[in-house]
Amino acid sequence: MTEEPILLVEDNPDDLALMMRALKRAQVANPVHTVTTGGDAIRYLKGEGQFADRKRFPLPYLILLDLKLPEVPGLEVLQWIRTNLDFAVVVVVLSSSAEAQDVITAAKRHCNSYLVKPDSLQELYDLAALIKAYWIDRNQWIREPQRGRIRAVG
Amino acid sequence: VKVIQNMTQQRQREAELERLHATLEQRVQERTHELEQAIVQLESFSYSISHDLRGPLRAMQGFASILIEDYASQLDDTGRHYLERISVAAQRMDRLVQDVLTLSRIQRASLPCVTVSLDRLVPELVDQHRQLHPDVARIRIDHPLLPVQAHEPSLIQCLTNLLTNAVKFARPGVPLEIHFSTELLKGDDLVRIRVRDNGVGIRREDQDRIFSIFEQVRNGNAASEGTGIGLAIVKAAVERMGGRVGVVSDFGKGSSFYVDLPPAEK
Repeated sequence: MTEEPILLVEDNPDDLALMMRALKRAQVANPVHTVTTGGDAIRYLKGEGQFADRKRFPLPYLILLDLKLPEVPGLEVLQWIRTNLDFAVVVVVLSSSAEAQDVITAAKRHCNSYLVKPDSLQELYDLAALIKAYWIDRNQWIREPQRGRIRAVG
Repeated sequence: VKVIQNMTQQRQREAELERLHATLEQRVQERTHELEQAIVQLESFSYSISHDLRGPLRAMQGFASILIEDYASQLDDTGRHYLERISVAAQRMDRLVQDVLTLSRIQRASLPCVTVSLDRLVPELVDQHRQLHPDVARIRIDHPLLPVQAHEPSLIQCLTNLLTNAVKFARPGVPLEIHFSTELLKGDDLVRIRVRDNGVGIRREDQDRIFSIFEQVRNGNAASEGTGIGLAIVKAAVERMGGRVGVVSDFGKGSSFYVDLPPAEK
């Protein structure tokens, strides 16, 4: 299962570095690809422009999605994913806020889970370990060939 | 003819008066609307500011922790001590920001009220508290507690704040006792929830201002850990639920905080 890629969408370089450290510490062996804007997230998933090479930028099984993103907001990226990609793609929102409106909108747009970025590094380690235990180790993967690629590029 | 003239003049004056009255009313409405807009903007501003502050704070805490994890062995005691202080200060600021966020959320959000059973809620809170801080206090509940009309999450926040407040302001060396009770205030048709403690108490001159933001009164072993927003949150939430808060205190002997809320509908 370990070859299944993860896409981390995070614009804040500090949060990005901390999350990468936490994933590494949780012994996540899957390749983690990163993009820093909502637009790049969509272009990556479309396999467009600089992300055209699917070997280098494979479709992820798991997307960790921040909500406050430049260019295209996270909630719009989520909508794009649910309109255009197979539902087997797991989207875990990783937001700095638990604003009711964001949680509701994300749920209506079918994120698989909504998590709030914790305050301390230890809690972030714990969270990364939980993500690994649940979404990577326990959840049943649908492998990329069966998962299908993009349903329809909108 | 004179009479008719007078009557016409009077009618004109009345019409003029009516017109002025209408203009005044319209201006009051406009001003009120402007003020309401300003308040909404201010609240959403404080929300987004507090929110944006938390990002850099997470980074400060995170990277200070990483320094401790990865490089502690290369630092001497003083160096490690400074790192600890950065961490603690960042945590404290984070609590401050979170409290400001909670306050602004409570001021903005709608708080729909339903019947809440305090007989169920208070023991739950006390249990949770005991799990976090066993042996910190002897807590007594005067069952049956009267049910109230409240927004449960906000009421939980209020009672938790009062409980942690009592713990923070315990008298050194005196085992802390906290006592929950309710009483129907017949004249006001409100239920008074009392949270009484035997802590350090509050001086009479300080009793009014402790409910204002950042007005933590420093006395006794007073809480370096507090943010001074907890009681402002309680006040804002209770008032938005149609109630009121207050305190009766005997300095040096203890405080009795009360939250008055509408009784449950029969």
